[in-house]
Amino acid sequence: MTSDREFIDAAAKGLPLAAEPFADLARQLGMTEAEVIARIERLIAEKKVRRFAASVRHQPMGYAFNVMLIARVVPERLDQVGQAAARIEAVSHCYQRPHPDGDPHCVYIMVHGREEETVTRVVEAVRAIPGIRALEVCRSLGELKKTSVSGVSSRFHDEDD
Amino acid sequence: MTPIEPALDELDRELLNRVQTRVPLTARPFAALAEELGSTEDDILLRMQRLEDLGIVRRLGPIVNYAAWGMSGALVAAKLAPERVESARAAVGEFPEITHAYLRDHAWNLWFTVIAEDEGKRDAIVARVAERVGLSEVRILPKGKSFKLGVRFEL
Repeated sequence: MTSDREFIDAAAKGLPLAAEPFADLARQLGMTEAEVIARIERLIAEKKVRRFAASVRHQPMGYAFNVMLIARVVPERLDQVGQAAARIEAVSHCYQRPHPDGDPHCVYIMVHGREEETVTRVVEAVRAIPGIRALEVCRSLGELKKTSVSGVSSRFHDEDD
Repeated sequence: MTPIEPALDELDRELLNRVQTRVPLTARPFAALAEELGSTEDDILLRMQRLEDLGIVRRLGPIVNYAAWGMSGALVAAKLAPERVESARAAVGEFPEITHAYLRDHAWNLWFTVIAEDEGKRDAIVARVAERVGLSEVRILPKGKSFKLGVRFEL
């Protein structure tokens, strides 16, 4: 019996682009194709897997402008700020994290845009959200690493893209 | 990286929108997608292959909720001296647990994501990077409440 952990490690390496991609994983694990599909469905139901999908690299698509916004918020407005920012289409990720200076009441907002103008517009939209005390705009000056699919990290490398 | 704008047609874009949300969990997922999109299985497979060759599709697989597996991740912020950029590039490249690293226009100018088997291992990796690069100030910033997680774009 393949454990969930063994299963996810194998599945995370990625399925082949073939007509029956799950059959390939099934052979590798000594399972049937139906068992592979049922296992994925269960892991999704258990929320151990968010979804089964293609990871897409955005830069070749022209999403060149990657900006991280750090919003310092009024503590009791944190949820409202997070929810309002999440509704903006070009915002890919939005969550609470502390500021490196120590302030715990911060919402980080990741923005990807095809054009500088999109990013500028999103920054203005975020600025207008009530409850933000200060907004820091951190533009990307260069990428030092973008994980390729290999080894242990392949399992989760999509999470914080 | 220089952004390129490959020629994608409407069907490519619709296909990308769908597969980054979900790949049908059925024996022949590309046939199912072909049916949804009014195409053929062969055509969809060719398009997927091309999207992969262009570097747009990276991988078809599970998007894992790592916290549910007991793993520990964080965003790390550090202050990096300009002359140490190459040293930082080498150090973050060495650890598979470090998944992304960016230089940013901010007083805390080095940002990277790390995900490890547990908190102790995560912190040990950050400590080793800090030591190798000679980072004076480093902060591990765990994620609190999430408001939006999936990367989904209307292409």
